[in-house]
Amino acid sequence: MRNIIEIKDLCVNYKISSNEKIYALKNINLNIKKGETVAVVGESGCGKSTLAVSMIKLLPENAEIFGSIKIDNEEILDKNNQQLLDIRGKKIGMIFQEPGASLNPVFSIKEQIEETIKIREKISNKDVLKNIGLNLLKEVGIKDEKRVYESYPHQLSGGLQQRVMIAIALSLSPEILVADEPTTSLDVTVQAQIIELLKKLKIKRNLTTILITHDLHLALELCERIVVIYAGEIVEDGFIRSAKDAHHPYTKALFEIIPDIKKKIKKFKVIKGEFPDMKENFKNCSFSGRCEFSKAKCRRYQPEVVRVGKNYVKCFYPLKG
Amino acid sequence: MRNYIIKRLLLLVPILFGITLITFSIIHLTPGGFTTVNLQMDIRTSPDSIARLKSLYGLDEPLYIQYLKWLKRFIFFDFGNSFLDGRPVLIKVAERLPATLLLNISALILEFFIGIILGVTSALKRNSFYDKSITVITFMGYSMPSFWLALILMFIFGVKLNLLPISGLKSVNFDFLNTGEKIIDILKHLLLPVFITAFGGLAYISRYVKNSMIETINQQFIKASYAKGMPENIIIYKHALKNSLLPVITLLGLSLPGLIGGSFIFETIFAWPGMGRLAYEAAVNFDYPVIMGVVTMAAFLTLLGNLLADISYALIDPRIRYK
Repeated sequence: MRNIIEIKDLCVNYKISSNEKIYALKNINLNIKKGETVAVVGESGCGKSTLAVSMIKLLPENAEIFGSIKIDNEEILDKNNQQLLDIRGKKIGMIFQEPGASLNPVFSIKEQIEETIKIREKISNKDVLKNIGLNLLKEVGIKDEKRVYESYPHQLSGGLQQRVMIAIALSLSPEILVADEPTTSLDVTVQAQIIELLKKLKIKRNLTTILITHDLHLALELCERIVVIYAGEIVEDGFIRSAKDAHHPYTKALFEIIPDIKKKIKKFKVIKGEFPDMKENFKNCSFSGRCEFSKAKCRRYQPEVVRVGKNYVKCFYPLKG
Repeated sequence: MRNYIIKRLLLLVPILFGITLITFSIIHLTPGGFTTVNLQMDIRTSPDSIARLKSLYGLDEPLYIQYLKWLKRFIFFDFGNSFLDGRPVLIKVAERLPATLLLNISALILEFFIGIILGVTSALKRNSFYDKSITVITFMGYSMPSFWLALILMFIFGVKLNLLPISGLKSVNFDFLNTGEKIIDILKHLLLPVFITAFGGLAYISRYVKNSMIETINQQFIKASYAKGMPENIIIYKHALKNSLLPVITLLGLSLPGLIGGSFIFETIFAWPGMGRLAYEAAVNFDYPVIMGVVTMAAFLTLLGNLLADISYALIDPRIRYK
């Protein structure tokens, strides 16, 4: 299978003042094959959302971006706003967390779905547009699509709003769907429904899906391949189902802190130490401060990415599993 | 929605009643009075003639009787006649209102039109040289006294350059002009007053729009609009603008009282035959019926304006509509 996404040496910094920068992403290398389903996991503030918006070059004004992102062999970072329109919506559809905030409160669902199709596909027949819109809503599992179509965002529940967002993201038939924490503000049963829906759509439309999340359960539910990000770096990339498959100490720790419902525990397990300051550009292993296996070398030098089994791990002393 | 409008209209009644009561009390509590100002200063007036004049206008009765009588006439839209020239108040107001409305509505339209454009463009280019110059220029307009600016501009454009007329609504030879020339004549007279009125308010509106626009373009739904592949100009001028105009409607509602009231100083400088001067002349002469008439009508139109602003709020924002 060919790579649909090729990210090479991607660095993203946010300037916060004249002499301070946040190093959000550092030397990211990531290839994703067509039809693959990949989860990007990490703590809040580790740069995973930055990775998502970088793929459509939708970064805030204070961001600096270096490296290369190729979608279907086309370089994204050289494109201007006009050229980016061919990527946004058409190649990559994106959904965000908090669907309520992602929909414009003063336009009806109908308008928000139809405007994109009208402008981008140059369809102006009202009946055709409505038909496309209603079919999209049906496709994302909305049963009373006629009522939803005429509604305003505030009249819908969170789950319905996120389904509408998915419908909008799919309206130009993209090949890639990037879901940035799509279930964070939803309750657990709705979360499960949305993940089911994403699974179904992935097969039906042969979508390449990238799920950005901090919830390992969701990641395991939907994806085979897991990319673990820590402090702006990919520390492990591969096929991980449990702590046993993890080769990076951070991945292992992430799996181990998931509480087991069968065991009675008095205290939740935590990863000791603090998340590093993202304003620093590390010369050493970013996880060395919290790693139970860290040695002097870890605290002084940056590890290279090595292949361990089926996974790629950025560690001097990868675990043997 | 209809119930809401009816409810709001009914609410106007007690508010209007309160306004008339307070206005009536204040003007009658003011030292002096119609007879004092117009007769007692004159040494030739006898106490007898003052008493006769008072009873002629019903000013010898107790205040509450006078108020109730006024209220009774008001219910039938009869505001009485002016004490000064005996003409009906309604006709006097009807003569003056168009000039004030013409001036203020033109100024308001210009002010909002330019203010919104300046606000949006400086929000998009914030902290740039353009943004800073707009801030300086609009604040100059805001801080300069309008009467002073009026005099300066009249001197430059009227006296020195002789381009624009400096006073009134029409030229002396207005009646002899054809329709096209009449329109041009009025436009020429409008230019300076409208410009000065609008200039003063620009800072207010453009700042408001700018802040509201900056807030809106940082919202997630704007990011989502970019992500779904909408062109930037549509995102800014359709999605973001509609959201950021919501607070501007409140501002529009607040500027409505000024539309009807007029400004005395301004109307005097430009010899503008408007409501501001009518109200002032009535006030210094203690012309009670005219004062009451002007205040009540202005209050009513103001309340109506606020109601209109609230309704248009609901029209733009569906979140309010359905509550």
